[in-house]
Amino acid sequence: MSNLLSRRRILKGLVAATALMAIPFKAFARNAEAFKAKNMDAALASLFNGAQIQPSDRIDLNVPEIAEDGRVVNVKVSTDLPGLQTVTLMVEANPNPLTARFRFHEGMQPEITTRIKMGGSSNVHAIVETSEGIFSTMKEVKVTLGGCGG
Amino acid sequence: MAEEIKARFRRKGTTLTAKLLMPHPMEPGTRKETVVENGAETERLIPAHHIDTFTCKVNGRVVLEADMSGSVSTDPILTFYVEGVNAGDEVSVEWTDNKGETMSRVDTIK
Repeated sequence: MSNLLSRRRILKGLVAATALMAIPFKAFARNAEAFKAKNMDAALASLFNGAQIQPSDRIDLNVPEIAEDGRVVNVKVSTDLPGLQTVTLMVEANPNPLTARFRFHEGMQPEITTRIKMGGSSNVHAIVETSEGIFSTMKEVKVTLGGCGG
Repeated sequence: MAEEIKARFRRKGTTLTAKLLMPHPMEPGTRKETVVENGAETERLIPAHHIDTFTCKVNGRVVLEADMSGSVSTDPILTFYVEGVNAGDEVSVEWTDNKGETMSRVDTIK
């Protein structure tokens, strides 16, 4: 009996440990397939598995209307949506639209600033994942000099 | 060897402002260059070389992670804010690129 119990306990422990290891790995690993995607739909499908994405005016996507140099376009994303988990940046017209993805953990204010490259004028999308769902907003940026060409 | 990460941390109360500049070519792998081979000019792709992942920890606890592509600008900058940071806390930042190279730094917050 005690043998059986300990075996059960070990099995349970193993199952729990495997589950613990598997969840963060799956949820947090860099999604190489999404980064290779040639269009937004493919990148979104790979990242969000077909989950519904709702347009939201509670995401502030701060990009210039006109960027003189496509190699350096300032982007700031912030949101007042509660339970922020990830912010994903996509440049619709780039050869690989997925540009960067940020995961926010406890303590982070819901705001991130970086600089991205744009091959030409394009819509820039910010997709925000929260504990309530997936939300997005977009803005058009006109680029005078592209940043991805040969 | 890649250059060191430049960082400016400023704490106001328990809110930390982090401004980082990470020197890196961030080559997307889609650009072409002209090379002379056997006396003839040919075009070839410049191989991808960019930061893949970035992590920021406060006292060993992850607060921000980033996955990047080569379309983040050369020498990526990141600005972000972390709550609940006190004097003496240790902030570490680290990147890994697609060639497996890494760079990190650790700062003690004043």
